[in-house]
Amino acid sequence: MRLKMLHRIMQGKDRVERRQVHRRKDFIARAPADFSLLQNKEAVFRFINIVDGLYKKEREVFIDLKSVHSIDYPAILVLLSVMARFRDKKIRFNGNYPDNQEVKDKLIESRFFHHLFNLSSPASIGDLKVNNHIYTKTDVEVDPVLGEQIMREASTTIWNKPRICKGLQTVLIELMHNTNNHAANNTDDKEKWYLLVNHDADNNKVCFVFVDYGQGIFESLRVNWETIWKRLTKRIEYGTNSKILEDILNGIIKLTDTKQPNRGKGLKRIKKALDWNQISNLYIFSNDVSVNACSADYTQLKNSFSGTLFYWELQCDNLNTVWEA
Amino acid sequence: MGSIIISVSKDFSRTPGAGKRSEGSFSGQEFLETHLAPAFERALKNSCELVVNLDGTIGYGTAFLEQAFGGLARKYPELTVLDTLKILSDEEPYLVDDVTTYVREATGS
Repeated sequence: MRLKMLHRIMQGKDRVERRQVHRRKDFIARAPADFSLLQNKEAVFRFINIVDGLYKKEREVFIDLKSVHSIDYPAILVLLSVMARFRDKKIRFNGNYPDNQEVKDKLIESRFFHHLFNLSSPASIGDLKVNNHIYTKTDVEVDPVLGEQIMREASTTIWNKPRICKGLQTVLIELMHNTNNHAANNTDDKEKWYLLVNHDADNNKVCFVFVDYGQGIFESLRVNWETIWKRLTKRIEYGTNSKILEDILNGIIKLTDTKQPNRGKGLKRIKKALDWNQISNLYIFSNDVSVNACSADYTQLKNSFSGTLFYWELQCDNLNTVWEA
Repeated sequence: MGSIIISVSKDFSRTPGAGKRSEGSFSGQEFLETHLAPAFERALKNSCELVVNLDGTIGYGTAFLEQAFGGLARKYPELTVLDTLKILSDEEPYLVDDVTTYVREATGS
Protein backbone atom coordinates (compact mmCIF):
# COMPACT_ATOMS: atom_id res chain seq x y z
CA MET A 1 0.00 0.00 0.00
CA ARG A 2 2.76 2.41 0.97
CA LEU A 3 4.60 1.57 -2.21
CA LYS A 4 1.58 2.31 -4.35
CA MET A 5 1.22 5.72 -2.75
CA LEU A 6 4.87 6.43 -3.30
CA HIS A 7 4.51 5.61 -6.98
CA ARG A 8 1.48 7.91 -7.33
CA ILE A 9 3.38 10.73 -5.62
CA MET A 10 6.33 10.17 -7.84
CA GLN A 11 4.19 10.23 -10.93
CA GLY A 12 2.76 13.56 -9.81
CA LYS A 13 6.07 15.24 -9.08
CA ASP A 14 7.54 17.05 -12.03
CA ARG A 15 10.92 17.40 -10.38
CA VAL A 16 11.46 13.70 -10.08
CA GLU A 17 13.92 12.76 -12.74
CA ARG A 18 13.33 9.49 -14.35
CA ARG A 19 16.70 8.07 -15.20
CA GLN A 20 16.78 6.99 -18.78
CA VAL A 21 19.11 4.21 -19.47
CA HIS A 22 20.66 4.59 -22.86
CA ARG A 23 21.33 1.12 -23.97
CA ARG A 24 24.28 1.40 -26.31
CA LYS A 25 24.55 -1.25 -28.91
CA ASP A 26 28.21 -0.53 -29.50
CA PHE A 27 31.09 -1.43 -27.25
CA ILE A 28 33.46 1.39 -26.36
CA ALA A 29 37.05 0.42 -26.89
CA ARG A 30 39.34 2.98 -25.29
CA ALA A 31 42.77 3.36 -26.85
CA PRO A 32 45.75 3.71 -24.49
CA ALA A 33 46.92 7.29 -23.96
CA ASP A 34 50.35 6.30 -25.24
CA PHE A 35 49.24 4.74 -28.52
CA SER A 36 52.79 4.17 -29.74
CA LEU A 37 53.39 0.59 -30.68
CA LEU A 38 57.17 0.80 -30.64
CA GLN A 39 57.21 2.31 -27.13
CA ASN A 40 54.12 0.80 -25.55
CA LYS A 41 53.56 -2.48 -27.38
CA GLU A 42 51.74 -4.43 -24.66
CA ALA A 43 49.04 -1.79 -24.15
CA VAL A 44 48.60 -1.23 -27.88
CA PHE A 45 48.23 -4.94 -28.62
CA ARG A 46 45.89 -5.39 -25.67
CA PHE A 47 43.67 -2.70 -27.17
CA ILE A 48 43.94 -4.15 -30.70
CA ASN A 49 43.01 -7.60 -29.39
CA ILE A 50 39.92 -6.18 -27.71
CA VAL A 51 38.84 -4.62 -30.99
CA ASP A 52 39.69 -7.78 -32.90
CA GLY A 53 37.65 -9.81 -30.43
CA LEU A 54 34.67 -7.58 -31.10
CA TYR A 55 35.16 -8.05 -34.83
CA LYS A 56 35.11 -11.82 -34.41
CA LYS A 57 31.87 -11.55 -32.45
CA GLU A 58 30.55 -9.11 -35.08
CA ARG A 59 29.87 -6.52 -32.36
CA GLU A 60 29.54 -2.85 -33.10
CA VAL A 61 32.42 -0.85 -31.71
CA PHE A 62 33.17 2.75 -30.81
CA ILE A 63 36.90 3.52 -30.95
CA ASP A 64 37.66 6.07 -28.26
CA LEU A 65 40.82 7.98 -29.17
CA LYS A 66 39.94 11.05 -27.09
CA SER A 67 42.69 10.64 -24.51
CA VAL A 68 45.49 9.60 -26.83
CA HIS A 69 48.46 11.95 -26.35
CA SER A 70 51.03 10.02 -28.36
CA ILE A 71 50.76 7.90 -31.50
CA ASP A 72 53.11 6.27 -34.00
CA TYR A 73 52.67 5.00 -37.53
CA PRO A 74 52.82 1.28 -36.64
CA ALA A 75 49.86 1.79 -34.30
CA ILE A 76 47.97 3.76 -36.95
CA LEU A 77 48.48 1.05 -39.54
CA VAL A 78 47.53 -1.81 -37.22
CA LEU A 79 44.36 0.05 -36.25
CA LEU A 80 43.57 0.65 -39.92
CA SER A 81 44.07 -3.02 -40.74
CA VAL A 82 41.71 -4.06 -37.92
CA MET A 83 39.02 -1.47 -38.69
CA ALA A 84 39.12 -2.32 -42.38
CA ARG A 85 37.89 -5.77 -41.42
CA PHE A 86 34.80 -4.21 -39.79
CA ARG A 87 34.25 -2.16 -42.91
CA ASP A 88 34.66 -5.11 -45.27
CA LYS A 89 32.25 -7.24 -43.29
CA LYS A 90 29.81 -4.32 -42.93
CA ILE A 91 29.91 -4.38 -39.14
CA ARG A 92 29.02 -0.94 -37.80
CA PHE A 93 31.72 1.09 -36.11
CA ASN A 94 32.39 4.65 -35.05
CA GLY A 95 34.90 6.63 -33.07
CA ASN A 96 36.17 10.02 -31.99
CA TYR A 97 39.20 12.17 -32.65
CA PRO A 98 42.00 12.60 -30.13
CA ASP A 99 41.74 15.83 -28.15
CA ASN A 100 45.47 16.33 -28.64
CA GLN A 101 45.76 18.42 -31.80
CA GLU A 102 49.18 17.10 -32.81
CA VAL A 103 47.99 13.51 -32.56
CA LYS A 104 44.81 14.35 -34.42
CA ASP A 105 46.80 16.00 -37.22
CA LYS A 106 49.13 13.03 -37.47
CA LEU A 107 46.21 10.65 -37.73
CA ILE A 108 44.52 12.71 -40.43
CA GLU A 109 47.73 13.24 -42.43
CA SER A 110 48.40 9.53 -42.41
CA ARG A 111 45.20 9.24 -44.49
CA PHE A 112 43.87 6.71 -41.99
CA PHE A 113 40.33 8.05 -42.36
CA HIS A 114 40.59 8.36 -46.11
CA HIS A 115 41.50 4.74 -46.50
CA LEU A 116 39.03 3.55 -43.93
CA PHE A 117 36.03 5.32 -45.41
CA ASN A 118 36.78 6.23 -49.02
CA LEU A 119 37.88 3.00 -50.64
CA SER A 120 35.48 2.18 -53.42
CA SER A 121 34.99 -1.45 -52.52
CA PRO A 122 36.20 -3.93 -49.93
CA ALA A 123 38.30 -5.66 -52.56
CA SER A 124 39.88 -2.51 -53.91
CA ILE A 125 43.30 -3.15 -55.29
CA GLY A 126 46.11 -0.86 -56.30
CA ASP A 127 44.85 2.19 -54.47
CA LEU A 128 48.16 4.00 -54.21
CA LYS A 129 47.71 7.46 -52.80
CA VAL A 130 50.25 10.10 -52.25
CA ASN A 131 49.99 12.34 -49.26
CA ASN A 132 52.53 15.02 -48.48
CA HIS A 133 54.68 12.39 -46.86
CA ILE A 134 52.83 9.09 -46.79
CA TYR A 135 51.77 6.32 -49.12
CA THR A 136 49.35 3.59 -48.23
CA LYS A 137 48.39 0.68 -50.33
CA THR A 138 46.50 -2.52 -49.94
CA ASP A 139 46.97 -5.39 -52.35
CA VAL A 140 47.26 -9.11 -52.35
CA GLU A 141 49.88 -9.78 -55.04
CA VAL A 142 53.62 -9.35 -55.02
CA ASP A 143 54.14 -6.11 -56.90
CA PRO A 144 57.80 -5.44 -57.68
CA VAL A 145 57.01 -2.31 -59.71
CA LEU A 146 55.49 -0.67 -56.65
CA GLY A 147 58.85 -1.07 -54.93
CA GLU A 148 60.57 0.87 -57.70
CA GLN A 149 58.25 3.84 -57.26
CA ILE A 150 58.59 3.78 -53.48
CA MET A 151 62.36 3.52 -53.78
CA ARG A 152 62.56 6.47 -56.15
CA GLU A 153 60.52 8.68 -53.83
CA ALA A 154 62.15 7.50 -50.60
CA SER A 155 65.66 7.98 -51.93
CA THR A 156 64.78 11.43 -53.24
CA THR A 157 63.60 12.39 -49.75
CA ILE A 158 66.90 11.23 -48.24
CA TRP A 159 69.51 11.99 -50.91
CA ASN A 160 67.64 14.56 -53.03
CA LYS A 161 67.86 12.27 -56.04
CA PRO A 162 66.76 8.73 -56.88
CA ARG A 163 69.14 6.01 -55.66
CA ILE A 164 68.96 2.23 -55.89
CA CYS A 165 68.45 0.64 -52.49
CA LYS A 166 68.40 -3.08 -53.17
CA GLY A 167 67.79 -4.03 -49.58
CA LEU A 168 64.59 -2.01 -49.55
CA GLN A 169 63.24 -3.82 -52.62
CA THR A 170 64.24 -7.20 -51.22
CA VAL A 171 62.44 -6.55 -47.94
CA LEU A 172 59.29 -5.34 -49.69
CA ILE A 173 59.17 -8.38 -51.98
CA GLU A 174 59.81 -10.82 -49.13
CA LEU A 175 57.00 -9.32 -47.05
CA MET A 176 54.49 -9.22 -49.89
CA HIS A 177 55.43 -12.77 -50.76
CA ASN A 178 55.01 -13.93 -47.17
CA THR A 179 51.51 -12.49 -47.01
CA ASN A 180 50.58 -13.92 -50.37
CA ASN A 181 51.58 -17.40 -49.30
CA HIS A 182 51.38 -17.62 -45.53
CA ALA A 183 48.84 -15.32 -44.07
CA ALA A 184 45.67 -17.31 -44.66
CA ASN A 185 44.76 -20.79 -43.56
CA ASN A 186 43.49 -21.46 -47.02
CA THR A 187 45.89 -20.29 -49.70
CA ASP A 188 42.94 -19.60 -51.98
CA ASP A 189 41.82 -16.91 -49.58
CA LYS A 190 44.56 -14.28 -49.80
CA GLU A 191 44.97 -11.78 -47.01
CA LYS A 192 45.53 -8.10 -47.68
CA TRP A 193 48.71 -6.39 -46.72
CA TYR A 194 49.10 -2.74 -45.77
CA LEU A 195 52.16 -0.59 -46.29
CA LEU A 196 52.65 2.84 -44.81
CA VAL A 197 55.63 4.90 -45.92
CA ASN A 198 56.39 8.03 -43.96
CA HIS A 199 58.82 10.52 -45.46
CA ASP A 200 60.52 12.20 -42.53
CA ALA A 201 62.48 14.84 -44.39
CA ASP A 202 63.28 16.70 -41.16
CA ASN A 203 65.22 13.70 -39.87
CA ASN A 204 66.48 12.65 -43.29
CA LYS A 205 64.91 9.22 -43.19
CA VAL A 206 61.95 7.27 -44.48
CA CYS A 207 60.01 4.95 -42.19
CA PHE A 208 58.15 1.87 -43.40
CA VAL A 209 55.43 -0.11 -41.69
CA PHE A 210 54.15 -3.34 -43.19
CA VAL A 211 51.19 -5.14 -41.65
CA ASP A 212 49.26 -8.21 -42.58
CA TYR A 213 46.51 -9.22 -40.25
CA GLY A 214 46.68 -12.89 -41.04
CA GLN A 215 47.89 -15.66 -38.81
CA GLY A 216 51.35 -14.49 -37.93
CA ILE A 217 54.63 -16.28 -38.50
CA PHE A 218 54.14 -19.10 -35.98
CA GLU A 219 50.55 -19.93 -36.77
CA SER A 220 51.44 -20.08 -40.46
CA LEU A 221 54.22 -22.49 -39.64
CA ARG A 222 51.93 -24.61 -37.53
CA VAL A 223 49.15 -24.83 -40.09
CA ASN A 224 51.18 -25.27 -43.25
CA TRP A 225 54.31 -27.09 -42.27
CA GLU A 226 53.37 -30.00 -40.09
CA THR A 227 56.77 -31.59 -40.31
CA ILE A 228 58.52 -28.40 -39.26
CA TRP A 229 55.90 -27.68 -36.65
CA LYS A 230 56.54 -31.00 -34.96
CA ARG A 231 60.17 -29.98 -34.65
CA LEU A 232 59.36 -26.51 -33.50
CA THR A 233 57.02 -27.66 -30.78
CA LYS A 234 59.85 -29.48 -29.09
CA ARG A 235 60.29 -26.71 -26.59
CA ILE A 236 63.15 -28.39 -24.84
CA GLU A 237 65.14 -28.46 -28.04
CA TYR A 238 64.13 -25.13 -29.56
CA GLY A 239 62.85 -23.00 -26.71
CA THR A 240 60.22 -20.30 -26.87
CA ASN A 241 58.81 -18.67 -29.98
CA SER A 242 61.10 -15.72 -29.44
CA LYS A 243 64.14 -18.03 -29.43
CA ILE A 244 62.83 -19.85 -32.49
CA LEU A 245 62.39 -16.61 -34.41
CA GLU A 246 65.86 -15.47 -33.38
CA ASP A 247 67.27 -18.71 -34.76
CA ILE A 248 65.24 -18.45 -37.97
CA LEU A 249 66.37 -14.87 -38.57
CA ASN A 250 69.98 -15.81 -37.97
CA GLY A 251 69.80 -18.89 -40.19
CA ILE A 252 70.40 -21.33 -37.34
CA ILE A 253 67.10 -23.09 -37.92
CA LYS A 254 66.84 -23.96 -41.59
CA LEU A 255 63.29 -24.48 -42.71
CA THR A 256 64.24 -26.60 -45.70
CA ASP A 257 62.79 -30.02 -45.00
CA THR A 258 59.44 -29.24 -46.52
CA LYS A 259 58.23 -29.86 -50.02
CA GLN A 260 58.59 -26.15 -50.75
CA PRO A 261 62.29 -25.39 -50.61
CA ASN A 262 62.14 -21.62 -50.31
CA ARG A 263 60.17 -21.39 -47.09
CA GLY A 264 61.92 -19.48 -44.34
CA LYS A 265 64.68 -17.97 -46.48
CA GLY A 266 62.80 -14.69 -46.72
CA LEU A 267 62.95 -13.91 -43.00
CA LYS A 268 66.66 -14.63 -42.90
CA ARG A 269 67.19 -12.38 -45.92
CA ILE A 270 65.34 -9.52 -44.23
CA LYS A 271 67.64 -9.82 -41.23
CA LYS A 272 70.64 -9.85 -43.58
CA ALA A 273 69.43 -6.58 -45.09
CA LEU A 274 69.79 -5.07 -41.62
CA ASP A 275 73.15 -6.73 -40.95
CA TRP A 276 74.55 -5.46 -44.26
CA ASN A 277 73.35 -1.89 -43.60
CA GLN A 278 70.84 -1.97 -46.43
CA ILE A 279 68.07 -0.93 -44.01
CA SER A 280 67.99 0.34 -40.42
CA ASN A 281 66.04 0.02 -37.21
CA LEU A 282 64.16 -3.21 -37.85
CA TYR A 283 61.32 -4.27 -35.54
CA ILE A 284 59.14 -7.36 -35.94
CA PHE A 285 55.96 -8.25 -34.09
CA SER A 286 54.17 -11.54 -34.73
CA ASN A 287 52.02 -13.76 -32.54
CA ASP A 288 53.67 -13.60 -29.10
CA VAL A 289 57.07 -12.37 -30.24
CA SER A 290 58.49 -8.87 -30.27
CA VAL A 291 61.85 -8.24 -31.92
CA ASN A 292 64.13 -5.24 -31.91
CA ALA A 293 66.64 -6.64 -34.35
CA CYS A 294 69.18 -3.83 -33.88
CA SER A 295 69.57 -4.46 -30.18
CA ALA A 296 69.01 -8.23 -30.64
CA ASP A 297 66.13 -8.00 -28.19
CA TYR A 298 63.79 -10.97 -28.69
CA THR A 299 61.01 -10.97 -26.13
CA GLN A 300 57.71 -12.68 -25.51
CA LEU A 301 54.59 -10.55 -25.70
CA LYS A 302 51.97 -10.97 -22.97
CA ASN A 303 49.40 -9.66 -25.45
CA SER A 304 49.81 -11.55 -28.71
CA PHE A 305 49.31 -10.06 -32.13
CA SER A 306 47.63 -12.45 -34.52
CA GLY A 307 49.13 -10.84 -37.61
CA THR A 308 52.63 -9.75 -38.53
CA LEU A 309 54.10 -6.26 -38.40
CA PHE A 310 57.47 -5.16 -39.71
CA TYR A 311 58.89 -1.70 -39.14
CA TRP A 312 62.13 -0.45 -40.62
CA GLU A 313 63.79 2.69 -41.85
CA LEU A 314 65.88 3.86 -44.74
CA GLN A 315 68.52 6.33 -43.55
CA CYS A 316 71.19 8.35 -45.25
CA ASP A 317 74.02 6.01 -44.32
CA ASN A 318 72.30 2.88 -45.72
CA LEU A 319 73.86 1.33 -48.81
CA ASN A 320 72.74 2.83 -52.09
CA THR A 321 73.98 2.99 -55.66
CA VAL A 322 73.48 5.07 -58.76
CA TRP A 323 70.00 5.11 -60.22
CA GLU A 324 70.31 4.32 -63.89
CA ALA A 325 67.33 5.17 -66.06
CA MET B 1 84.59 -22.57 -75.48
CA GLY B 2 82.31 -19.52 -75.96
CA SER B 3 79.59 -18.29 -73.64
CA ILE B 4 75.95 -17.50 -73.89
CA ILE B 5 75.17 -14.43 -71.80
CA ILE B 6 71.79 -13.36 -70.51
CA SER B 7 71.01 -10.41 -68.27
CA VAL B 8 68.01 -10.39 -65.94
CA SER B 9 67.67 -6.60 -66.04
CA LYS B 10 68.22 -6.12 -69.79
CA ASP B 11 66.54 -9.25 -71.14
CA PHE B 12 63.74 -9.77 -68.61
CA SER B 13 62.98 -7.07 -66.07
CA ARG B 14 64.61 -4.42 -63.91
CA THR B 15 62.06 -5.35 -61.24
CA PRO B 16 62.11 -9.12 -60.76
CA GLY B 17 59.24 -10.22 -58.55
CA ALA B 18 58.07 -13.28 -56.69
CA GLY B 19 58.62 -16.98 -57.29
CA LYS B 20 55.64 -18.37 -59.17
CA ARG B 21 53.63 -16.81 -61.96
CA SER B 22 50.51 -16.98 -59.78
CA GLU B 23 52.20 -14.79 -57.16
CA GLY B 24 52.69 -11.76 -59.35
CA SER B 25 54.46 -10.23 -62.30
CA PHE B 26 58.06 -10.83 -63.42
CA SER B 27 58.29 -14.06 -61.45
CA GLY B 28 61.21 -16.44 -61.23
CA GLN B 29 59.09 -19.11 -62.87
CA GLU B 30 58.42 -16.81 -65.82
CA PHE B 31 62.13 -16.00 -66.11
CA LEU B 32 62.99 -19.69 -66.01
CA GLU B 33 60.47 -20.63 -68.69
CA THR B 34 61.03 -17.72 -71.06
CA HIS B 35 64.74 -17.01 -70.72
CA LEU B 36 66.81 -19.20 -68.45
CA ALA B 37 65.77 -22.70 -69.53
CA PRO B 38 65.90 -21.93 -73.29
CA ALA B 39 69.34 -20.33 -72.90
CA PHE B 40 70.50 -23.31 -70.83
CA GLU B 41 69.35 -25.69 -73.56
CA ARG B 42 71.33 -23.70 -76.14
CA ALA B 43 74.38 -23.78 -73.89
CA LEU B 44 74.12 -27.55 -73.52
CA LYS B 45 73.66 -28.01 -77.26
CA ASN B 46 76.70 -25.87 -78.02
CA SER B 47 78.73 -27.28 -75.12
CA CYS B 48 79.37 -23.83 -73.78
CA GLU B 49 78.90 -21.86 -70.60
CA LEU B 50 75.74 -19.95 -69.71
CA VAL B 51 76.50 -16.67 -67.97
CA VAL B 52 73.62 -15.06 -66.11
CA ASN B 53 74.19 -11.46 -65.14
CA LEU B 54 72.16 -10.48 -62.07
CA ASP B 55 73.29 -6.83 -62.02
CA GLY B 56 71.16 -3.87 -62.98
CA THR B 57 67.93 -4.73 -61.19
CA ILE B 58 66.57 -2.87 -58.20
CA GLY B 59 66.77 -5.98 -56.01
CA TYR B 60 65.73 -9.62 -55.72
CA GLY B 61 63.44 -11.63 -53.52
CA THR B 62 64.64 -15.06 -52.46
CA ALA B 63 61.65 -16.76 -54.08
CA PHE B 64 62.57 -15.39 -57.53
CA LEU B 65 66.07 -16.80 -57.35
CA GLU B 66 64.91 -20.13 -55.94
CA GLN B 67 62.20 -20.64 -58.54
CA ALA B 68 64.52 -19.64 -61.36
CA PHE B 69 67.73 -21.44 -60.46
CA GLY B 70 66.34 -24.06 -58.13
CA GLY B 71 63.73 -24.65 -60.81
CA LEU B 72 66.49 -25.15 -63.37
CA ALA B 73 68.10 -27.74 -61.11
CA ARG B 74 64.79 -29.54 -60.81
CA LYS B 75 64.71 -29.86 -64.60
CA TYR B 76 68.34 -30.79 -65.17
CA PRO B 77 70.92 -32.74 -63.17
CA GLU B 78 72.49 -30.67 -60.41
CA LEU B 79 76.06 -31.25 -61.59
CA THR B 80 75.16 -30.31 -65.15
CA VAL B 81 73.68 -27.06 -63.91
CA LEU B 82 76.68 -26.25 -61.72
CA ASP B 83 79.11 -27.06 -64.53
CA THR B 84 77.28 -25.02 -67.17
CA LEU B 85 75.99 -22.05 -65.21
CA LYS B 86 78.06 -19.04 -64.21
CA ILE B 87 76.55 -16.23 -62.17
CA LEU B 88 77.77 -12.64 -62.47
CA SER B 89 76.78 -10.36 -59.61
CA ASP B 90 79.16 -7.50 -58.91
CA GLU B 91 76.49 -5.39 -57.22
CA GLU B 92 75.44 -8.16 -54.80
CA PRO B 93 78.31 -10.68 -54.65
CA TYR B 94 76.52 -12.78 -52.00
CA LEU B 95 73.93 -13.78 -54.64
CA VAL B 96 76.48 -16.07 -56.29
CA ASP B 97 76.58 -18.29 -53.19
CA ASP B 98 72.82 -17.97 -52.75
CA VAL B 99 72.19 -19.28 -56.27
CA THR B 100 74.63 -22.16 -55.74
CA THR B 101 72.75 -23.07 -52.57
CA TYR B 102 69.42 -22.99 -54.36
CA VAL B 103 70.76 -25.28 -57.05
CA ARG B 104 72.20 -27.72 -54.51
CA GLU B 105 69.08 -27.74 -52.34
CA ALA B 106 66.62 -27.83 -55.22
CA THR B 107 66.04 -31.53 -55.07
CA GLY B 108 66.49 -31.79 -51.33
CA SER B 109 70.06 -33.01 -51.52
